[in-house]
Amino acid sequence: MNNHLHIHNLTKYYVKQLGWLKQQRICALDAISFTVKQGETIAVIGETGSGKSTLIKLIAGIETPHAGTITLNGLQLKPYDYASRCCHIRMIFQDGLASLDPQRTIGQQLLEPLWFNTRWTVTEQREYVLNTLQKVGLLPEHFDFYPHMLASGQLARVSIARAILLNPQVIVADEALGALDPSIRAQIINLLIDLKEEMGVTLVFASHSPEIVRHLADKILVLHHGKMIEFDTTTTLITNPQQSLTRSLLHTGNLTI
Amino acid sequence: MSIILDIRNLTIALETPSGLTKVLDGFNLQLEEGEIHTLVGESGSGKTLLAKAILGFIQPKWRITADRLWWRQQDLLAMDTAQRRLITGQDMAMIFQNPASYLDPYLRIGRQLSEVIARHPHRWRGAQRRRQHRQLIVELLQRVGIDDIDAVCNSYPLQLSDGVAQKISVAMALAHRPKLLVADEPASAMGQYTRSQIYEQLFRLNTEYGMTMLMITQDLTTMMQQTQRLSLIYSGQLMEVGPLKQVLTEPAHPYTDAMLKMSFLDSTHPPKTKLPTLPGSIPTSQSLPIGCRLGPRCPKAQRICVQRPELTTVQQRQFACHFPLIEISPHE
Ligand SMILES: Nc1ncnc2c1ncn2[C@@H]1O[C@H](COP(=O)(O)OP(=O)(O)O)[C@@H](O)[C@H]1O
Ligand code: SF4
Ligand SMILES: [Mg+2]
Repeated sequence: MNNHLHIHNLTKYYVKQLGWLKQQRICALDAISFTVKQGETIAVIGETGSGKSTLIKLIAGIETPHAGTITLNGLQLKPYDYASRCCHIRMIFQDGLASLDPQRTIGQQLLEPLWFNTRWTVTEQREYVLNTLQKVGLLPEHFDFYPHMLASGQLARVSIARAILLNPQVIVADEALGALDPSIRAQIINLLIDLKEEMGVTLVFASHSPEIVRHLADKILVLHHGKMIEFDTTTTLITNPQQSLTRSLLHTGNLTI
Repeated sequence: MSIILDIRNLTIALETPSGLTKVLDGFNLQLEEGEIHTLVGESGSGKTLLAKAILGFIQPKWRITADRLWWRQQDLLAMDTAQRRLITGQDMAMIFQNPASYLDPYLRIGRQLSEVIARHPHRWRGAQRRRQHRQLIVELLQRVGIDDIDAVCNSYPLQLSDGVAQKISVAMALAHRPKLLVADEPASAMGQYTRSQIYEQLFRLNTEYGMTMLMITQDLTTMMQQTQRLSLIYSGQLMEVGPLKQVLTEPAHPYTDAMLKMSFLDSTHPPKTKLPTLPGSIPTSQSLPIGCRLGPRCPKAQRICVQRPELTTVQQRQFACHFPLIEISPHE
């Protein structure tokens, strides 16, 4: 399946208010086109404000583009059609605690997508969630925990559990690993490697850590002021980048000791 | 080299719902005058608390004890608040993780910079008048890599991006020129480019003015090359300290070893392979292990580890572990 996820001419503006009447139109994403094969891992890199988060949100369907299309397996995804999209494309939220409802248990929140998208019985749904918890390295008792009772690493696992529910074809993430502590980050990277192998899911993630990008990505997409300035395999962009920005963004400056 | 800051056996206990907990547990730190010292620890390990204790930003509820907390041979714990403030104001500055939160939100940036310059006239002899302030501000901002000087000077802190706000804090440190600068995760929330710009400016403060620096980070980062010595803290306890190269090439402590492997710093992991990591999670202040707090996650732990290991000194290095990874000859 070569045209698994196809992004065509994707464009998004934001309008910035400058005083009373003056407005400035900022092009956050400027006619981006690229194609992702099934099971590939794509890293989106670029400076702060280059459009990484916008691209991720558009693919996740959280925001709507001003122009352009997103096609998954030949079917064009309609903006606003979040209900059907969420079975195919899901997002790992960056801040586990902020994206969860503090009043409801982890289990209740993980069950929610199943109500609308499956015809399973209550028992089947619960079974499925317990299974998913186990997949991400959590315990059955975490089903009844409230978000604040979990440590940061466990919250990151809940975010991943939410993203893999219902076996989506594509998972997107925006800086989901950068803020984690090194030991937790390594655990989550390992979990993602396992899940990818097991589920064959496509992963598109934005990151500003050259180490993580080099470790996980098959291909790298470089954004600069909303434009895609380079898109190629990780090996090519590490050994032979065409743009100096790519070189500096991917430079790990490994400690020479 | 003389020791400018000498901390021995510093403990900070806080009142928590489950009783008094030692969030900093017998911590040691000696800063040599003019060095860059990096302190690495995961979140909640007590780094910010330590920084605040050094600067004297202390809440009355904290129970602070130490065998020694000396700044240039003066006992900081014996001082009253006024004396302590005077020393901090003259000699020390801190750069925070979230820069906008410590700039005054109601004053324009230009005004704040001008005040810092005015407060330290001895550093800026002959630059007292307003026009000269303006000239100095322009120079300071250019040095930290801000181009849009007028716009920035006329802004309020919350109108600035984190990167620009942090550059302003660096500019203030430049203007203040303290003897000690404590930078608490100064660029962890920033992109790679801004991050290296900020570190570069901080390092220049050291090379140009010989400023002593304590750089606090969550991670063994690539910005560490300039560091002379490295300390690692885990859950409030000092694990290891020593010269950068020795610690990184030949870690003595299991925690250092694990941090190195998890931080992609040894390039032995081909892409897409699993990384070595510590199992489990960082203990919360309600459930601190007894003895060596790394115990439950440590690959080398044995029964004796429920007793706190002593700090062992081997030449320029120190570490607290019952089963260190380097040989210690009995004569040392
Ligand atoms: N003002 C405070 N009151 C109560 N607990 C605190 C306070 N500040 C920090 N702590 C606790 O002390 C521990 C160390 O915190 P901190 O110094 O902020 O760690 P770090 O900077 O290494 O992330 C944590 O468990 C934190 O929850
Ligand atoms: S004292 Fe024991 S638990 Fe602590 S680091 Fe050493 S071996 Fe590990
Ligand atoms: Mg901190």
